[in-house]
Amino acid sequence: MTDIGQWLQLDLWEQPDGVIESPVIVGTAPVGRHVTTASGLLRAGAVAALIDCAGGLGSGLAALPGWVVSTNLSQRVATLDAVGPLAMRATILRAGRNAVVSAVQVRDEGRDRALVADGVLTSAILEFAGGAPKHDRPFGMGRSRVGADSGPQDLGIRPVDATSVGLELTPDLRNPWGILHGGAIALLADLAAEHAVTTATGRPSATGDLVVHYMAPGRAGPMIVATAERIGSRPDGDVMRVRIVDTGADDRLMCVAVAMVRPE
Amino acid sequence: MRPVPPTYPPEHHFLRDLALSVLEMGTDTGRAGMPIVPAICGPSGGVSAGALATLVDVVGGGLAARAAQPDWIATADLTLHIVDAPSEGAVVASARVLRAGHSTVVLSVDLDHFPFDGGSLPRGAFDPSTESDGRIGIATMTFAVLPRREGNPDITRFEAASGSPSGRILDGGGFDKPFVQELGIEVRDAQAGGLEVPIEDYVHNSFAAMQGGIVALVACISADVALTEACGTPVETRDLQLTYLAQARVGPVLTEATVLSATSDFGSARVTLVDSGNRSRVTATAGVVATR
Repeated sequence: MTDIGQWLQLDLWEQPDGVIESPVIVGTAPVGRHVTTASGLLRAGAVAALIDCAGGLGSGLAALPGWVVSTNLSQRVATLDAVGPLAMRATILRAGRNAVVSAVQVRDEGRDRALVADGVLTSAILEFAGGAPKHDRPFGMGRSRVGADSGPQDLGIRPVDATSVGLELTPDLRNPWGILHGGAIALLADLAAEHAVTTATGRPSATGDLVVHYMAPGRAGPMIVATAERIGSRPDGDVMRVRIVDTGADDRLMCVAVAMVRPE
Repeated sequence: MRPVPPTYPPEHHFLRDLALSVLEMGTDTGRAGMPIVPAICGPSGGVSAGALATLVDVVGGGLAARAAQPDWIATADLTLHIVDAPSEGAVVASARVLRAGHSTVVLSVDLDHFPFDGGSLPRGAFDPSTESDGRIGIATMTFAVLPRREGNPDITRFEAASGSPSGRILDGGGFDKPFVQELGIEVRDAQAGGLEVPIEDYVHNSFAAMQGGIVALVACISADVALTEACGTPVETRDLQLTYLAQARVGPVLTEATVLSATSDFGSARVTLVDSGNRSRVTATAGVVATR
């Protein structure tokens, strides 16, 4: 098992010439088999996880001495046909007393910095017992690498039935406060939507645009289950609504997401 | 912060021209509907995303305010996903509280179409017992819960003065022309999604800023204009992800759309709204997908 940052093979750092209250976070991540579908397209959920990591770090630094939890993530995809490495840039749109809003762009360094996705992350500011994580400024973070380019199964994500996938809540997938990482939740939503459409149609499909509403932490486990429901179809794909519950907490609703799924 | 005016919305207001009917409003669920008339439809003839977003904002805001009592709320974001855009009948938005915590309220909203014999619905004559013929979209809204401050509306007192919200019809004069013209929206630069929108009583919320649903509507129009240029064919908003950053109080509101992708069938854009009279403060950012 591995944590989401290791799985993404993510490097993040704060631009040294940034404003201390409005940090700019940049980062890189490779495009490999671990974040691509069978046909080689980027997984939208992996891109959303990058947005959550970069936007969350910038928002957290902007919220000091408090820290943040993600409450809403929205992602518009320009293209999922990327060669990598991916480059992230997160900026603060608004830092208020209760919430921080950050904008994150993901670009493909291997294709003249073409836009891959454009996202907005809203985070709530919380005062955590024990305080915020201690960071030197400007902040930098490099991750140890996973040995193989493994897929989502390496995060413990498996199909449950025709419309659901599940994730085993292991210690590696919890953040410093013991709850499931927001990036892993976004990835789970993507995979549930894709799995439901692929199972129903018998054709490979892939998620594009994604909206994730985080409502309650995933803390109990051991299984976190995401179930997708088809709302309707359009020329640009199927509109899928995903509900994610913590089975160990009486199926408490953790998250509602909406994903656009298209044939690959 | 200004107190709620004695009657909101005033006699001449966009929400009244939409003829919104509040069918039910509790602390866990709420429903509101509106007739689909040509003035709120887009170039394809179907009901526009902007009108639907306004309906969602009204029912969502009313429900969230009740769920957050005694505290008050500020809208944080609104997302809308449309799968069908009928050209007649009525649409009903059914909202329910997914989470009512000490810092946020999250709602989901289902949008259902109700056909009626004889075409367009008579104003204010919506019958909520009629069977729906299908889902046309879904929406979500998130609200930040704020400590109550002087000047925040007291819903119980407001309702005591104006009557229960259930069954209330916000009836006005109706639209004399397409809603884009009623709102005074001017296209300044189609390629860049550049609009200019005045802030007048007609679009005010209860704090004399631009009403949240109308903010969403403006974002949709900006994206539609830019993406129609980029796609080379008329396209209309089908997905909206709107993040509210500040109230637009002075105006005019100016918009800018950055096209993220465009094909002959659909495209996506990032839209920014600024309050030009308030040091060009950014008031909202939106991601939009528009399709043929």
